[in-house]
Amino acid sequence: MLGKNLFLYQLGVGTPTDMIGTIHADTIGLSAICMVGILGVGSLVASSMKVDGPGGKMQAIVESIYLFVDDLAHGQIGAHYKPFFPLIAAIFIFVLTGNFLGVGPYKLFEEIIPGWPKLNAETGPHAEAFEIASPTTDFNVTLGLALVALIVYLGSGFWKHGGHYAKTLFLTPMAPIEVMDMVVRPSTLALRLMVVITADELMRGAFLLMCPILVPTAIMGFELFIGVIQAFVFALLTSIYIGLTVAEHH
Amino acid sequence: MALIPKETADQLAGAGESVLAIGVLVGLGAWGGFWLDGQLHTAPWLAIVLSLLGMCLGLWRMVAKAMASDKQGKV
Repeated sequence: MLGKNLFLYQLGVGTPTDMIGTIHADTIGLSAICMVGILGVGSLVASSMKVDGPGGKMQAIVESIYLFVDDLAHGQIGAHYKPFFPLIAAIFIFVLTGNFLGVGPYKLFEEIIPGWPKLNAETGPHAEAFEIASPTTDFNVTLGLALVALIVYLGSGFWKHGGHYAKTLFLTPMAPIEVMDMVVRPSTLALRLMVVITADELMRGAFLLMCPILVPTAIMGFELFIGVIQAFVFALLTSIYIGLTVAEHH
Repeated sequence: MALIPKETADQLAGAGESVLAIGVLVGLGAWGGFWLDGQLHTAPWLAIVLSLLGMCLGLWRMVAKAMASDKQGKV
């Protein structure tokens, strides 16, 4: 689980303030690795893409992901899904990449690789190893994604229905539920992803330390599956919320 | 190329979200209650009352959404 043992100011980058709070260098670094990875793969595929005839394996994989997210967004949002497709695709791909990044026997590497970076090394045996994990184990990342989804689905309601959407939010019998949803929806999105991925990582870490042969491989396979499901659920719920607000009957 | 049928996905997502929403509302009520108890020195009563209120709101939300989705045929 990230965000607990490497703050930006420990790297001498700046001091935390009461306004901003602590900034987690490990989360920022691993999120940046995800983004660079996604952009790198995208650039590679785009540069070698074939429009006529079958492309390579990477193109096939990227096209499958594109078609999957296109189908998801179109099914939930309806005919006007195109403006929202980049957001749904970005959420799905970033969460998927982040979840996959955390799947690896890092705990074992921390124990057996000499010279693995340690934090607070001057404390000797109490020094904590630098942790590599999925950025989605940090609540800041998942909450950030959830708040983006909240802003987009509220904004899409006003974009589609104008002032009438404000009446739906505040002046109908369902208004208290709609107002509660502005807190509940992003909270459930963020917490679900963070808790599931953190639980997966804790389970893998425990098995790596108890029985490092074969069993963690099965756990890691299960984690990959859960990573796909959680990315799908996050993107699905975001597109459902947007679909509900842009629906014609509002 | 859907992973699972749309209707099934909608229902599963809605059901999961409703249940988790109850947890979030209870958590928010408890957190608010603890904070208010600290300010007003009424421990543990406000924490208990606001947790129960959060649970009631969560259940009400779940039932209202289920009834609304029955009328509209959507989650």
